[in-house]
Amino acid sequence: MPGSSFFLLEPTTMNILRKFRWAFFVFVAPSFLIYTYLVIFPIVSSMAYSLTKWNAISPAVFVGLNNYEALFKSKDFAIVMTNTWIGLGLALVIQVGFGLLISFLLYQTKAGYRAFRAMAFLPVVLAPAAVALMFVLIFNSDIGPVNKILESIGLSGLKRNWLSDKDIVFYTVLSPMIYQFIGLYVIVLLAGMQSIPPEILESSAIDGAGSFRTFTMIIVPMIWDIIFICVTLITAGSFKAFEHSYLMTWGGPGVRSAFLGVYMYLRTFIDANFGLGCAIGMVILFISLAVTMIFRAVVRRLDYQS
Amino acid sequence: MNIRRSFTFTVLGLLAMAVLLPNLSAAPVKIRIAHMWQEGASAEADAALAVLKKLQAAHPEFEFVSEVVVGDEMRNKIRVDVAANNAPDLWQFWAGGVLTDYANAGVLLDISKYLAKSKVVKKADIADSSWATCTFNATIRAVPRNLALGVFLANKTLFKKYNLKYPKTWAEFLAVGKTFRANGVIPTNIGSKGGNPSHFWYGDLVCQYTSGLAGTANLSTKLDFTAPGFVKAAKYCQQMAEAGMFPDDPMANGDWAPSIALYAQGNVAMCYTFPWMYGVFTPEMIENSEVIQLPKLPDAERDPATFIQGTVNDAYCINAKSFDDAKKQAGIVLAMDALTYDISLSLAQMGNMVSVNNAVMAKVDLAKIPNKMMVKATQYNLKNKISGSPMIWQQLPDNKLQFDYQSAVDELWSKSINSTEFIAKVQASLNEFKKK
Repeated sequence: MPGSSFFLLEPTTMNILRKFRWAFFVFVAPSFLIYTYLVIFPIVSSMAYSLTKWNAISPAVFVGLNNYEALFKSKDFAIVMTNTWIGLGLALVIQVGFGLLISFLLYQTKAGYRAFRAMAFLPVVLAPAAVALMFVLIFNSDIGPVNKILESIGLSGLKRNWLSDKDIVFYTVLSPMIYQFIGLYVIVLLAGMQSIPPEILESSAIDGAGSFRTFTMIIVPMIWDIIFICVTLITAGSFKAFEHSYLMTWGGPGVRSAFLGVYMYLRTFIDANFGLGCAIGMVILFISLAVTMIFRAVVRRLDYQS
Repeated sequence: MNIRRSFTFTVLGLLAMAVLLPNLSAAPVKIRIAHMWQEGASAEADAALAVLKKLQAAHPEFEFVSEVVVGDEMRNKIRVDVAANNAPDLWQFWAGGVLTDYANAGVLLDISKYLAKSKVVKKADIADSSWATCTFNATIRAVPRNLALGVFLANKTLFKKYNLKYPKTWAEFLAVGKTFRANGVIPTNIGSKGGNPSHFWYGDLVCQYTSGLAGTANLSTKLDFTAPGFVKAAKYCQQMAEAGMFPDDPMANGDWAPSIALYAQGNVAMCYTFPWMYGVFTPEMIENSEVIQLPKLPDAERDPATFIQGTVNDAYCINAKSFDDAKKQAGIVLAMDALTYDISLSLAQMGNMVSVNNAVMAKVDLAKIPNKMMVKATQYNLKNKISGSPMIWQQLPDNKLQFDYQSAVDELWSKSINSTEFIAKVQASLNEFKKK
């Protein structure tokens, strides 16, 4: 089993471990108990509640798979799922794409490197609530600057009711979400690029590789694992996205700008339907796991091929 | 031997002190009060907290602990606290259908038990119609707090500038709106985010029809949203949206603060709001505002010059379990008296609320109220004998129904659905509730 240090232990160490097997449990137990209490138990508990009708006040009533049935029959849920998938797709393309581009530019920057890096990361440390409210003002069709700028440059035809038009409100809400966290992936990918041994890049330069070729043929393949981490983070983030959508529009009008996280909150706390809320939570969990596993399989395959 | 004996006596003495001391200087009984007054957030909050501080100083035997949650988040806090068997002893909430789950589950005290102990709150001092908003299965489950009558204002400067008269009919209303739009002025501030303040406006139009008024009053029992009043009012709201009578971006300019911010900037001709927003009106805004009636719809059966949306908005709840705790009961009564009487009086005298308690309002001198917006609105209401009309949201007997209604209003305002779809959507939600 290459890569597993346990099997590379000396025979004497193995003997000691076999002799004091209970010691293994003593060391693992605290972490295991905490993890079980904080992670496993809530998941199992949510799974159980997802099979009930419960308003958090009266006793829960077992309803089998009714919540799941209601969920998959709901038109609102279909809209929210579509929003979530589109959001995930756009976030992957834009955040990873721009993240790679900006991190590569930073990687090659000598003058002002620290300042540019700080600028790229700055939006990440802002509170999402502050960013969301800022974008509400920016996109406000009545008093915000976006429509005024479009009008002043002769593009009045592009003016929209950014937060009320059912066809575009979702993209309006998505824009600050994507913008705010590009900086995070810039820093992660930059760290990945900085871990590439400089000799490799020097050799490629000697061989005459330009920036584009170096980027596509050397840097990107060498940081596949880091890109995969970004993809996993974006996937998890997209499925639990909440703040921007809720603060900007309450997920509305209707559920036009809602993501699964917002939909779960609305059904759980606003409708006081905790059973349905838990069912949505389970859907989020399983889809996130499935998507992450698919990405992992794809990355492994690409890794193997490269 | 002596040393051993001394040691034994010392240990025994310490043990005796450990047992007796807590009883000699008993720790104050903790009374948890969940309310919405954040210190320093407003004059209203500071005045209310000053009353609670005074109460604390007068009753050191109790520790009155504030748990502050502002706005709609209070709904989440209370629900989660109740689920965790950790509900506060008293909390500020809303009246109407939002209390149903708690009333049905026996979380809320039968208020007659509190009234029997209270030194200041008498059942007769509060109108039966106000008690009705907190009554479930013939038992009162909360003490109503305030009356909220809406107000419709006109920006005097803008009306003067464009030489327009305040509209009284629907045709006049649409005509002034057209003129304002042509001049880049937003006709009204009525946006719609989470159904605010739009659902109140819609409710006001509904109540211009007798069928709408009756339909609203009976909504919790009949669960019927198809009465002509509901349908017609929805059509007029759609007409308003299409005619540009609302802000272009109703979601961005919806909810209470943004809708007032738009009016405060001076680019909105008419403002529809409620007393809880009076605190943000500057003297200039008040001076520049004229209270006007809502426009009368073409086929209206009731004259909006005589009524506006208004009913009991908030209420105070008592945790039934806490009240049954003999140690806490006296403290709860003291705190509840402070909330329902002393704080109400203080805030009513400031002009920040209209108490449902007639004994409180009898002590308020309108001429001495510093909040001039409240004075202006109250004088108008008294002069024109304005009464309050029932609120649809409050009559909906379930959280989901309330949210579905608010959400559908948002969609109607933003032109995502038309009036027919709006009615169908709300009725579908009611039908689903019926099935359950």
